[in-house]
Amino acid sequence: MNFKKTVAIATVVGSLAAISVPALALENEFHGMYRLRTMMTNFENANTAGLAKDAPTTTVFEQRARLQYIAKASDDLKLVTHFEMDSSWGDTAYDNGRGKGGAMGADTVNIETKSVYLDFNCPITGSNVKVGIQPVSDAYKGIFFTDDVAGVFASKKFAGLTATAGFTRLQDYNRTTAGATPFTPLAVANPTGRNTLDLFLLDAKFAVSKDLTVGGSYYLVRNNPVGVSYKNTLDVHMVGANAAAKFGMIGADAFLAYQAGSELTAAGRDLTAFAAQAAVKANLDKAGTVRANVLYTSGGKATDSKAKAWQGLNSGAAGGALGVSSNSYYDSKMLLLMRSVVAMDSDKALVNFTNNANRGVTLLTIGYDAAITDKMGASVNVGYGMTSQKQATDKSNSIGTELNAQVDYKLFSNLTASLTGAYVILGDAKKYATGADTFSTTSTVKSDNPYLSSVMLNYVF
Amino acid sequence: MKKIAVMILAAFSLAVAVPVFAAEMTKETKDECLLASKGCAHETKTIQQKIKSLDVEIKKGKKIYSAEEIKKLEMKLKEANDLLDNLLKQ
Repeated sequence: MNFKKTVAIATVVGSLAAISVPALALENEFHGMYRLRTMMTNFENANTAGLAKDAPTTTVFEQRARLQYIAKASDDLKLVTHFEMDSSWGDTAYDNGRGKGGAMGADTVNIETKSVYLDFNCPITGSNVKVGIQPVSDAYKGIFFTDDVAGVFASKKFAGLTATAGFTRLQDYNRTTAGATPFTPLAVANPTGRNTLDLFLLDAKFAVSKDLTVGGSYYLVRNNPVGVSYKNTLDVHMVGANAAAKFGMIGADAFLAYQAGSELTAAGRDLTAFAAQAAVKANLDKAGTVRANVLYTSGGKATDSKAKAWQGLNSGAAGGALGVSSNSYYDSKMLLLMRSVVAMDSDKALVNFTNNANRGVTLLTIGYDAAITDKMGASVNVGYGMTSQKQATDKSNSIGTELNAQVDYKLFSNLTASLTGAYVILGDAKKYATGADTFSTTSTVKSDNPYLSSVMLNYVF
Repeated sequence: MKKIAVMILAAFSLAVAVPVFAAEMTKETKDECLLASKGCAHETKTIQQKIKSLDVEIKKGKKIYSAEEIKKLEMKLKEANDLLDNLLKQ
């Protein structure tokens, strides 16, 4: 081949490659956040019980970074990945494990995978499909579940109606080393996929008008732990209805949900539990926003012929049934009474679970948000919580009253500094307790009222 | 004939390369990308910018966009808001 031919062929190949690139191009989207939360508190600390007499004031520095990369082939197809790095200042260095690496030296393998899922519009059915590990919440503000789960969800619009169907495998007990049966490859007695905790979901939302939406759901949680035969699975059936409306400057929403079947962790009794919520928000334009919320989850007693306590899902290596709370009510804007939306390793609340040790919870909150300037905002919240069902050993229904306030200042358009204070006046149900999740019994030693002050930086991009 | 083909292809190659040269600064202008990280060729939008620009486009309404396109923009706005929520919540 002579030189001219070689040049001509190289030019042709180069040109074709150049014009082909756009067809193969991916849109690369990067997002993320960094949060530093410095706290002075006698309660919100990962290494204390939560409530105690003379509970020491501790200083805690927690940070979280999240990085999200989205590989978008087109509007119809993208891969979403989301990673997280948590550390508490001074915890460990040269370590392997999540939530570590904040001590001098750092150098810790601590990247967590939060989400990895494929999001595509199916060309055959026209539905949007999300398959993989993804963030999912119930249609009831997370009081049943809100967490990252592995599963498949398909949703489709029919005029004003959006219907969603989904399946998630929340736990495979035979793959959980801390579960009842440690995972053994090629297991015959307890193979993978036999003893599982699964969630099946059907959800519909209908936009009646621009200002009114109504919805309904059916969720089935099928719990088949080791030692329980498939025909005797512990199933929770949940049905619910919800609505949201706008009337001028007033926005309101409400829901009602009912659970039947059996308790998630105990066989033998039929379940009949319910929850209800109402929230109203008045937008007063420059004068700010006023909010009010009320939540009720039912509670029950061990002596009841039917189990009446609201069931919420929990996660963690402990086996799915207990462990870490996967339910919350962030809408309350409580910081100590209920789980806080910004909490990290020290996530702790007087009501960690909406089941609330089978007592349920009744919560009333009011709040006010003010936009003082373009850069500065403030909010104040007051909330009162009580158990829905008092147990024989409880001194009272009253959990406590929380007052909190926060001032936010935007240092940049995507960096906000926040100064927060929160204080709870304990009610008799918690006043003599010695842990965040325990209740007063016969002790006469009063625990200190919990408090929290924090300075927080939040960078989001 | 070959020469003509080579010339045409060479010219075409240059044409597709032009945008790369276009981004270069002239002697009289400051390179804002180097100086202040503004106007860089591959600058991507933050999630806040994405939400704001979607909001602006939706507000342009049916004078600019068809009903179908507005629905698509609204869907993207919801996705962006969900994404922001998931970044910030526990």
